[in-house]
Amino acid sequence: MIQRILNNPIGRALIIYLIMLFVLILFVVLLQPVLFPLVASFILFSILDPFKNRLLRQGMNSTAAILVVLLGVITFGILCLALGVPLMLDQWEWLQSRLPVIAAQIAKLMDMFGGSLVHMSGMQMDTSLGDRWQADVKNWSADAVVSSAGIMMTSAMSLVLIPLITFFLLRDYRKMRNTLIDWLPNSAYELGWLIYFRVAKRLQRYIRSVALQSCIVAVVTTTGFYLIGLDTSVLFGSLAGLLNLIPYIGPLLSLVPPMLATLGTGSLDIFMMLSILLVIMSAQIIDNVIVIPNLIAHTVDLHPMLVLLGVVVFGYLFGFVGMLIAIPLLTSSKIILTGLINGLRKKLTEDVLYILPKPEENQA
Amino acid sequence: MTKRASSLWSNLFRKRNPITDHIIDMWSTTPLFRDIPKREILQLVRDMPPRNYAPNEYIFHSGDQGAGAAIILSGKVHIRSGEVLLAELKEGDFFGEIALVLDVPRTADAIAVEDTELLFFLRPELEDWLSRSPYFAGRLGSNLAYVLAQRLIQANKSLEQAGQSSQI
Repeated sequence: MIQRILNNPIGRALIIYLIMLFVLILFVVLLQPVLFPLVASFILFSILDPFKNRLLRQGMNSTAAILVVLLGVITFGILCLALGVPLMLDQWEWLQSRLPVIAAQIAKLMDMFGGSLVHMSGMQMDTSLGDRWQADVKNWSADAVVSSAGIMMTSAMSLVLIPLITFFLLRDYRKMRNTLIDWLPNSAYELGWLIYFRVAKRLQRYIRSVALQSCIVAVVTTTGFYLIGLDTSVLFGSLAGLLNLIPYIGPLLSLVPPMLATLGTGSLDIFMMLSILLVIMSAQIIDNVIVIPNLIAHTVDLHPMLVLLGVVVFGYLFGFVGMLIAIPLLTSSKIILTGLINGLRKKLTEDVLYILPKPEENQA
Repeated sequence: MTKRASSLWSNLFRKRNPITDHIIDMWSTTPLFRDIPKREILQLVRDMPPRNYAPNEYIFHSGDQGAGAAIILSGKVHIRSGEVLLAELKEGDFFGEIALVLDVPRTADAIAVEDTELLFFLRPELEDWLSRSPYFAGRLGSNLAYVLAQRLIQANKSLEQAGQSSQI
């Protein structure tokens, strides 16, 4: 049975893929304390590598090019933190102060709609749901304050680690990659390189495109929210950019927080809600008509149905992070599996052929 | 203290590995790297570890997906098409250069005849190099076109000779 699976290219490819997946999961578990800075550094490396190459083309020395690129990013980061974070924190505080009002409004709406539903359908419904939700919101905001200390610690560690890891990746990535691939046996050396190269190329392009797409959506949405007079325009605009990383579901999710925030005024502002919907729709139109065809279309070669299912399943299993990693993971898996199957199909045919005497043995 | 200072000194001004120099010299004498400065070749070969093959071990089979060319650092390689020996290559020769240009299957088998050490120059590396140093990578492209054109002329001549001998 095992021999049968090993003789089948698809079976062997699946076994190799599962081993790779197991090693990846092992790494994720072992490196969990530094996983965030590590992933962030790889993302930064993918974005910054072309800039480094551009400086190298101008004749700059490698270390100088890396330092210039990193200093540029650090300066940009400090500027963003200095200008954007206080603004977002102000908006976050405003939102937190309005949370009880928002919760009360939601509770009122739920009671109202719940009562109407009971009246219309004759079904019994738990109308105390709104009150319980209100209590949950109060607990959640208290928990958020406690957990923010932990987040501050992680952020401080990441602020030190990310530039350091990115520096070493920009400097030594080629060497590390070549050393790792050198562990492959001779028979799989070229196939390993080809699969690595296809995956790396696609992933790097995906990361760069998606980062740019996210920034564009964040800027468009923030501007839109500001123009319609939403008090938390920067906070929710940035959130919309971040949520846009999740295909299909992200734009819908980005609609929820600003809609809820409008309830913070204490009344149901239908005009504001429609304006928010219009801003999100406009950002999506720009994204779908201009950004996606020019940036993303060629980086992901997956059926939309698979993308949707992947996002839902990964989201269910691993939460928000799962939704973010669903597409790169599915794309990489597809390339690895097809590459392995095609490569092994050829190799296995040859193995079967060389059960017969090899040319040298023939001559002897 | 003296020892520490001297080790730091030697580390700062350490000489390049003589093996790396030998590899650079080898690549620079091939038509592929004609008119390309050695410091550029160093950037390419510095991080690429050599591969060792045992006698009669296949380096690649005809039909395999090829990732790049290889230079023979030591040993001997046979290029075969089925039973026919197309070429016997030795130290300093290179092969598999079609894979530097096209993502097509290998057109022949390459077999190590004795203990052989190879160094690969891969298409991904070439593409990386093209983004870092387009001028010299472009020069390699033109050298590669020259090598492939020479091979084509040679193949045409062989076909012509084969045709003439069959007519006789």
